[in-house]
Amino acid sequence: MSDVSPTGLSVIDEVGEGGRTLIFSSRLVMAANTTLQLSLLFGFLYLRANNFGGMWHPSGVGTPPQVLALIALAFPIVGVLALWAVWNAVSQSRESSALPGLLWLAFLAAVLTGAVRILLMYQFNWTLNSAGTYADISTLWYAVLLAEFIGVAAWLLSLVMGHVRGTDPLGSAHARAILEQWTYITGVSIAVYLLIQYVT
Amino acid sequence: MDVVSTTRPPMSTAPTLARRLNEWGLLLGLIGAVIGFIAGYALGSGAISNFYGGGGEPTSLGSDPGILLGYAMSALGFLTGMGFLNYPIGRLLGVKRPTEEDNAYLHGEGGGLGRYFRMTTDHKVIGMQYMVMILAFLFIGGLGAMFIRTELLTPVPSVANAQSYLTLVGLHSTLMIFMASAAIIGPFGNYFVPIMIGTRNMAFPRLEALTFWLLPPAGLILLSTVFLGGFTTGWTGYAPLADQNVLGMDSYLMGFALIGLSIGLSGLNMIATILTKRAPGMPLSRMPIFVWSVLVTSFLGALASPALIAAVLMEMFSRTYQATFFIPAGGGSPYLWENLFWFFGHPEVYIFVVPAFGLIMEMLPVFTRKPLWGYRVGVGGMVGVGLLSFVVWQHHLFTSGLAPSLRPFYMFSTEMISVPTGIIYLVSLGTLWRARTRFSTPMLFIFAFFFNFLIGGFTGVFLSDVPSDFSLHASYFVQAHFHYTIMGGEVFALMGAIVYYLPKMTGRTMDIKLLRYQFWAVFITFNGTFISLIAVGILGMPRRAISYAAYLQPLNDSASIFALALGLSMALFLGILIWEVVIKQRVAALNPWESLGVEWQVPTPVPMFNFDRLPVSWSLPYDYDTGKPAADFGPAVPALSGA
Repeated sequence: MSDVSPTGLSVIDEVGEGGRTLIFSSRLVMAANTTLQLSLLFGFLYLRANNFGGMWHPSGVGTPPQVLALIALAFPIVGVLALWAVWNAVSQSRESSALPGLLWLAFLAAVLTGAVRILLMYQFNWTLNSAGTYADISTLWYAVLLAEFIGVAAWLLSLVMGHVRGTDPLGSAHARAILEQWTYITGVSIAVYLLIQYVT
Repeated sequence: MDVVSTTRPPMSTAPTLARRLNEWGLLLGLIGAVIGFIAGYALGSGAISNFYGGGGEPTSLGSDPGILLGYAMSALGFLTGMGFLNYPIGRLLGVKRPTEEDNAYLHGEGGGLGRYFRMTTDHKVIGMQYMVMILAFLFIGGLGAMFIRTELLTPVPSVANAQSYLTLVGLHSTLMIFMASAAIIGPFGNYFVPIMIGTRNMAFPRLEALTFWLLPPAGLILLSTVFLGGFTTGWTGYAPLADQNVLGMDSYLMGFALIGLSIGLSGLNMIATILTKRAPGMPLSRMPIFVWSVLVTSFLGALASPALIAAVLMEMFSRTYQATFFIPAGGGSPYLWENLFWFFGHPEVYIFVVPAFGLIMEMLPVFTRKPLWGYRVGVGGMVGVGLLSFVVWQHHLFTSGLAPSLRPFYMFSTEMISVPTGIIYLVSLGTLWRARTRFSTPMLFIFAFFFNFLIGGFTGVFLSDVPSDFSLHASYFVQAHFHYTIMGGEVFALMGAIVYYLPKMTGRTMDIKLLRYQFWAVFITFNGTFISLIAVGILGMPRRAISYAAYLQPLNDSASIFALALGLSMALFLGILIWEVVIKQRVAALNPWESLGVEWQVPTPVPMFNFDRLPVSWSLPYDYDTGKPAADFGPAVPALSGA
C-alpha cells in the first residue's frame, strides 16, 4: 500500500499546507487574472477600433507622462530581480546572510512601485467625462494594476516579516510563487504601458 | 510511512480574547458593517469626491461615490467583524503562526451551534451555512415571484407602478441568480467534495469560509436597493440604462461584484483541492462524477467571473467619475457591456446546470442499482458543455445589432451544445436501461429534472436559431425557457439532493411519503406555470412588461394561479424540512439509500476531520453489480468528535 497519491503529494503534504498546492493555486490565480486583463484588452481594442463619435482619443488629450511611466516599470523589474535572487537562495537551501536584505529590497521596490504608480495616475490630469474612452480605459487599467501590485506587495510583506522575525521562515514554494506572481504582473504592466503609450 | 494522526491537543481551558470575539462572529460582523457603511459613505461622499472627479458636489443622481464606497466598506467591515482580517494582519506583522490548537478551534472543535454563526474552516459547517443561506434566498426570491405573478393577474397595473414593478423583477432575478450560482456547489460541493476525494479539508479553508461570508453582505447590499429607488435593468444590468438609473443601481453593481468575487475564489479553491489533494489511489479517472461536475463548473467560475468584474468596474467607474465606457456620445458603446456581461453570463448558466447534471448522475446509480453507464462519456459531455459555453455568448446579441456575418457561427456553436448535453442524457438513459429502479422520492426529482430540462433544452434550440430568435427574443418564451432549465433543472436537482443527502448531513430525514405529495404538487404547478408562459411568449408578450393585451389575460391568469400554487408547494417543502429536521428531529438510517459512495461509508455525523486515516484503493463508487464499496478504510478506528 502506497501513501503517495497519484497527484505526487505525500499524505503529510495533503494534510498540511502543501507547497505544490500553493504554486498550482498561484498559477490558477494568474489564469483568472489573464481573463481580467483580456477583458480590459478587449474593451481597449473594441473602443479604439470603433471610435464612436470620434471620441476615442480627442485632440488635446495626451498620453501618460513618459518618464514617470518608465520609472513605474523600472521598480517592478528591480523587484523581479530581487525576488529571483531570493528564490535562488531559498531553493538551493543556502543559508545566505543576504537573504533578509534581498527580501527588504524586493519589498522596497514594491513600495516604490505603488508610490510611483499613484503619482503617475495623479499626473494623468484627464477629465474623464470629456476625455474620451482612451482616457477612461487607461485610467481603469492602471488602477487595476495598481491594486494588483498592492495586493502582491502585502503578500510579500507577510513573507518578509515572517522570515525576519523567525516566526515563519521563507520556504522555496512561497518564494517561487511570489516570484511568479510579481513577474506576471510586471510583464502585464509592461504590455499595458506599450499599448497605452503607443497604440493610441 | 505512517499516516498522520488527526488527534488534536486538548482545548485550553482559558479561551483567548480572539476566540471570545470569534464566538460573537455574526453579531460583530453586522456591527462592523454598519460602522463601515457610515464611515465609507462619509469618506466617499466627502473626501473622495472632493479629491477627484466628483468635485464634492453630488450629481443629479445623488452621490454614487459615497454609496459605492459605503457598500465596499460595509462588506469590509462585515468581514472584519467576522474575524477574516485577524490572520492576514497577523501575517503582515510577522506574529507567530496559529497553533494546532488555534486551527482546531477555527475548524469548529468544541462543537456547538455557535460555529454555524461564525467563521469556521470546517467544510461541512460551511456546506450547512450555504444550505441555510440558499434556502433563505430562494424564499425571498420566491416571494418576489409571487408578487410579480399577482400583479400580472390583470392586464393593467393594479398593485404596483412600472418603476416598482421593474425593481421587483430586477430584485427577484438577481437574488435568484445569486442563489442559483451557489445552489449546488455551495452546500453539496463544499460538504461532500473533500469527503468524496478522500481529504480532510479544502486546499484553502479560510478562503472557503470567505467565499461563503462574502454572500450575506452581497445579499444585504442588493436588498438595500429598495431604499435607494431600486434598479430597472433586471439582472442583466444593461447600459446605458444602468448609467441613467438612480442610486439603487449601485446596490446591483456592488452586489454583483461581490458575488463574482465569491464565484471566482470558490472556483479557484475547488480546482486546487480537487487537482492536488486527492487521496492515495484516486486518479482523475476514478473521481465520482459529481466531483467532475464541480471541477468543470469551477473552471467556468474562475475563468468567466473576471469578465463580469471588469464590466462591473467599468460601470462603477462610469457612475462615479462619469467615464463613458457605454455612452456613445462619449465614445463608448452599450455593446461593450453586453459582450463582457454575456462572456460571463452564458458560462454562468452552466455554472447553474453542470453541478446539477453531476448530482443527478451521482444519484442515478443508487436508485437504479446499476453502475453508471458510460462514466467517461458522461465526463466528456460535461467537459464539452464547459468548453463550448465560452464560445456562444453572442447569441444573446442576435437582435442587438450583431454583424450578420457572425450570426451563423454563434448559431452553430450554440446548437452544438446540444451534442454534449445529449451525451449526458444518453449516459443517464443507459443507466436506466433494464434497471431495477427504486422509485424513491429523490428518484422522482431525478425524473422530473430530465423532463423539465428536456423542455428547457428544446425551447433553447429555437432561441439559438437566428430566424426564430428574432421573433421570440425578449418575450416570455425566453423567460419560460430559462426557468425550465434553471428552476426545472437545477432547483429540482437541489430538492432531490436535499432529500437524498439530508440523512448524511444532519442525521435527520424528512417524511418521504409526504414529500411524494409535495413532489407532485411542485411538478404539476411548475409545468402549469411555465407551459402557460411559453404560450404567452409565442403570442408575443414581452418580458418585464407590467401591462399586456387583454386577450393574453386567460393565459396569464393560468400562469399566475399555477405560480401561486407553486409557491405554496415550495413553501410546503421548506415547512416539511424545518418541521422534520429542526423541530421533530426525525432520526435517519445511517445509509438509507444503500449507496456505495465514500460519503456514505464514513460515520454520521461525519468526524471533524472526515477520516481517522485516509482511505486507499479507490474504485468508482458505482459498483452495484458486486456491491463493492468505493474505498478501503482499513481497520475501523473510533471517530473523532462529530461535526
